[in-house]
Amino acid sequence: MALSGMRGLSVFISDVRNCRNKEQERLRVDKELGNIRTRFKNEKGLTPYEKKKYVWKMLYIYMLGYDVDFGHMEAVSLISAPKYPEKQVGYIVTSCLLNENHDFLRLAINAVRNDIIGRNETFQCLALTLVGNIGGREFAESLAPDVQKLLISSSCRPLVRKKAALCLLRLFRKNPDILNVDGWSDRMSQLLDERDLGVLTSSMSLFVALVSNNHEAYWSCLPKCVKVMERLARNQDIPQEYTYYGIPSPWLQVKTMRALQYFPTVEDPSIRRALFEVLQRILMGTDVVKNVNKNNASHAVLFEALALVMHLDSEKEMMSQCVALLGKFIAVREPNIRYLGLENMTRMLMVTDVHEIIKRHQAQIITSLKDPDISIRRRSLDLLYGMCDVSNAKDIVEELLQASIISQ
Amino acid sequence: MIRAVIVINDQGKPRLVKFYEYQPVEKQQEIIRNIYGVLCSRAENVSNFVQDSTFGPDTRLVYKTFATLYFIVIFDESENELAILDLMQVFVETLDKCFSNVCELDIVFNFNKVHTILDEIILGGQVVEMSSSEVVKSIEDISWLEKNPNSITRVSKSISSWQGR
Repeated sequence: MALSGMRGLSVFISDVRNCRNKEQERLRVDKELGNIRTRFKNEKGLTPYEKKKYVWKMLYIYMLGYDVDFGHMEAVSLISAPKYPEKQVGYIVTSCLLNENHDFLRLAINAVRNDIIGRNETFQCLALTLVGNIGGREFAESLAPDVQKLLISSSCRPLVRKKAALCLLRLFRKNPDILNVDGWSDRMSQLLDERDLGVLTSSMSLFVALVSNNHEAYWSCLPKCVKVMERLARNQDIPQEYTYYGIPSPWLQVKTMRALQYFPTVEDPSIRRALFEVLQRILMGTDVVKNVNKNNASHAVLFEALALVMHLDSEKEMMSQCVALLGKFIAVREPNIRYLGLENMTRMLMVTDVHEIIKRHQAQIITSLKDPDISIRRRSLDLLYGMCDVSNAKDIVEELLQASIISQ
Repeated sequence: MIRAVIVINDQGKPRLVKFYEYQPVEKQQEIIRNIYGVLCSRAENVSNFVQDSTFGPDTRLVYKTFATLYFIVIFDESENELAILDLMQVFVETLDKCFSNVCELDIVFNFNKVHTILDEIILGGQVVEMSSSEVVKSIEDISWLEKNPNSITRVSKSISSWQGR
């Protein structure tokens, strides 16, 4: 990879690696911190390269677990550097070291704003990333309108727009009282028509945040979500780079189904039919295959589809199909799927009346209580607790007693 | 929301630490120590999921081991566990492409570049790009800018193809 290296930084990292114990490491780090402090005091003599190098060292020391209580000003000041390499360091290190209430951030607002409204899209991306990562109140007050403009601008490249969407999401989550999203449903509805899958994925995440806050305002977006699901399920207009192990953008499928779970129901019969067709296809068409990454992706989609079916409930026929699938999952070899199978069965107990069908799987669930993986044992314990009633209490309690003796 | 992305080695040494909700450095180290304690006691061929309140309330943790490294993502219930595993795979595949067969030493000596790559994948605790080839494209543009800091921007092929639509 061609990102340029810095010799002084490599030497320091090497020194730290060669320390034989924590005490030696501390001495080496303290020496470096002393050195950086002295160099920063005499800032006039520092070249941009040196400043950049010291600020990266600060981040490395911070990652090792040492408090770095000086030099924040130097990191922040690099944000307004004219050239990319220095500016980038300023942005990255500031977002790691400073919290949203840090006074120095106020000093950076103008520089950040200039980058956002400027015409250099690489600078725009850096600025949006910082604001999105920190998401402070003052950033929201002074920058949110500019970020909104970038998101809906037709002259912005997808690279900038997808970052603007997530930056806005963070500002909204942290400061819902400052960001006025009244009247956003039309805009959101347009964003969900987006063709570029990068922008669409970020917009969908933004949509999840908005709809989780107030679904009433976004009914008009519901059919758009179903359209997105249809596009993905039919593999229409999905570029190769968004096909992951043969599956059309599993991440976007998951996000879209998550968004749909914030609506209490799907009223319109034709939209409902379209959605259930897609869901049916996902439930029926997913098999366990050899490739673990493909398995993860296809089952991520499948479990999200299960959650959506459970949420929309009414189709009793599909519900028993879901329990059957979960029954299959809790017995497979793949531990992740076993874990999620147990967890979703527990969730199913709470949302719908399938108690009796789930009880048929009691023997398998008890087997999971003896699983070598404690994560799976915990899920099975939750499920047994949830399904316990007069009819099976004696058996379950006996098994639990035995399990508790073993785990001691 | 993704709360943190952490990479530690099999000795518990941090190699990449990125919190999306600010935590003071002592708290970060405490979380990392707890995670290491839990992960190094887990057998092979178990699930990639751990739930433990020491990482924060209502949080979940997914991890994946690659050679000598643990890749860890901490997130809340608004995310899908298996999709987070996909995300980690995309991150590692991207590192692999950028460093051609990434190993622990690449990450140690290029932790700053790893931050650059991570910022192209996650922003503010949300996934910004899941296409590894799209991420590599942006990283190529950034490397070019680092070498040519006097130019404003690189006119890449992706711009012309985008305008042609």
